[in-house]
Amino acid sequence: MGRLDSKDISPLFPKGLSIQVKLGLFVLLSLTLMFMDQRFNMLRHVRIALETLSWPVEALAQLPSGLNELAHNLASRSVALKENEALRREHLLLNARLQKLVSLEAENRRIRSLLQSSRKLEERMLIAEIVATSPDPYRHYLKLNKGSTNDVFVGQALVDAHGIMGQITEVYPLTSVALLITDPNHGIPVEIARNGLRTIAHGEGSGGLSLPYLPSNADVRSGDQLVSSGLGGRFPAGYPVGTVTTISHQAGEHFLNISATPAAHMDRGREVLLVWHATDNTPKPATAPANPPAQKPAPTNP
Amino acid sequence: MSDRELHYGWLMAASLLLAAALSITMLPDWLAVVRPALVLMVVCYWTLMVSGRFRLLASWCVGLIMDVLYGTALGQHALALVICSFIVIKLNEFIRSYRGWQQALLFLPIFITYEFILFWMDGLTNRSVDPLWRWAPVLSSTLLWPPLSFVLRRASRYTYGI
Repeated sequence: MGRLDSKDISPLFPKGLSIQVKLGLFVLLSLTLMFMDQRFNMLRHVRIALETLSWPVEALAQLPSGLNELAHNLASRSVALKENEALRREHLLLNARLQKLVSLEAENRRIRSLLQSSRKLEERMLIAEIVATSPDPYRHYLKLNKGSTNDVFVGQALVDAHGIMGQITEVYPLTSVALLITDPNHGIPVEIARNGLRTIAHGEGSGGLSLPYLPSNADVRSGDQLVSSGLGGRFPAGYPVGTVTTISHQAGEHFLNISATPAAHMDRGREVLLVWHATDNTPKPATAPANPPAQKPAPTNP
Repeated sequence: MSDRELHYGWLMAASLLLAAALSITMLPDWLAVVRPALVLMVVCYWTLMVSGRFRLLASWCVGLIMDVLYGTALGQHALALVICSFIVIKLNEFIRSYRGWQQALLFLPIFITYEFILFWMDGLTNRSVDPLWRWAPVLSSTLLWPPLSFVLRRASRYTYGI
């Protein structure tokens, strides 16, 4: 008969905490952490440390798209030549348009100086690469490869070649997280380019935008361009945000149901632009106090 | 921890790393909706197969990493994972007496518990979620359980000859 090892016998009075007590402790700890994180935002440093720790996981997760890119790089020469030709043509076209823009900008500045307005037109930009997208299809955010070492700050606007994409919500030393305008928790002050009607565009969560605060008699048509109004100071003014697609009105309701598609290509490309635009705290001429304290627009503003 | 359990360490770490990477890798939207909760499954598997003192602590730490990867409130996935591994520890002998599809069906309520806790905490932290498609990962995880446990069992047998 084999001899029983002492460690094989479970003790009558186990030392240490029982598993139920341990579970209780962990549950309590988790709830405390969540409370501190969400309500008081006290765990920034813990988050940054864990973020650095989980770097290998992120590197591994990027491997498939990296391989994809490699395959793309090795694509045939004819494709590259064709692409080059198309880009050359586009470059010429854009250059021609840019010449016109330069003169328009000069004219704009002249007129603005006549009006004694100090708004800056030039904005500093930085190209950032998308490192990861949201694994949850109902939450729209991107992780970028630029962080606080590149002067990225919370609230910074994110654009692509076609329009506004979102804003930075978290900044880590080497990476940052941007919330997209299509996220259901995001709202952006916009105006309709045709008539200057101001409102707020919310994300729908399914890749579109909705304009819930326009009264039923508002002057909106499908096909209207939405541009950022710059109110609230978060986003630079005048960038395209989207296009109105459908307008519906239910009898008896005060507000219209308007949906719009974002102008930026949210799910394409790997590069985005971070914008440093001149905010309200830039030095202003003596007439500055005359400026109205324009902040968030009222929800309804016909 | 006995020597044998320590030996499992590398395989555990590797499988967890792979599962975490697969759960944040970019997928097309239609596929991302039904992405199984791979980290939960791997944590459940090791909690089931290895007895040790640090099972709750380990799954809690894995949960914290998940929270950072997903950008959720710190502690949300940790809470869900620690409760699930507690259930697995409590029902250990019972679950181990089944194999394959029957075992997958036993795990179905555990996967539901996991998604429910996440869903609940999403509500508490004011994150909007789709209430219907939210449950798709439960089904895909259940369907994937038999092949996953087979692969992990094979891997541990191949690596350690146990």
